[in-house]
Amino acid sequence: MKNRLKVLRAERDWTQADLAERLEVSRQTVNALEKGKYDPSLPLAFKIAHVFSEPIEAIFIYETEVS
Amino acid sequence: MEKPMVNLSCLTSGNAKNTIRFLCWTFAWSMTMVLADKAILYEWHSSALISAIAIVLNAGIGIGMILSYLRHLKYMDELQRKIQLDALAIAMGVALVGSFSYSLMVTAKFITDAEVSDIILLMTFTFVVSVIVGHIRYR
Repeated sequence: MKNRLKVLRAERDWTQADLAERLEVSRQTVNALEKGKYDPSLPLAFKIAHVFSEPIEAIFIYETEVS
Repeated sequence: MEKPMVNLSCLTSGNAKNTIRFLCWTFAWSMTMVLADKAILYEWHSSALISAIAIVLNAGIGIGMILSYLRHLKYMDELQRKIQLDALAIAMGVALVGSFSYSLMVTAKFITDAEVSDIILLMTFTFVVSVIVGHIRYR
């Protein structure tokens, strides 16, 4: 799953630490999310959407495997 | 720049405090374990009552350590919990497979002086390595 976290964060001029504080997670988690190494749980995805005031589908892009 | 509305530094300090508390419980448990074991092994005393008290004390501190670990987990975020869960699963699997292999080796007399502590050491080592690898993977 891809996401626009880094872009949205950059638009607001927030550091990873700022976003981590808003989401009540560690900076490591924000970094892993941005790099696509970790997919958030549904509650965290909703929280991210709330923090950026965007719908979830505008932040996370589900990629189906193309055969 | 817009400043964060919520100050959650307490979350971080709370987590650090819980980590230290958990390490203290683990240290206390290890020490009471070693002391109880050596006291019985080298016959520092001849009282069965003192041995029983030492064993109960060690078990009690062990329960405290477990509760402290649960509290430690509670303060973690979901990625940190995932790292711990993965590490616990690997450590549990290695302990299970390792203990049966170890048991077979004892039956086959490849090992003569078998110790339960060997499996505990293997489990602890696997858990610590798995946590480190997990942190590196999600860095």
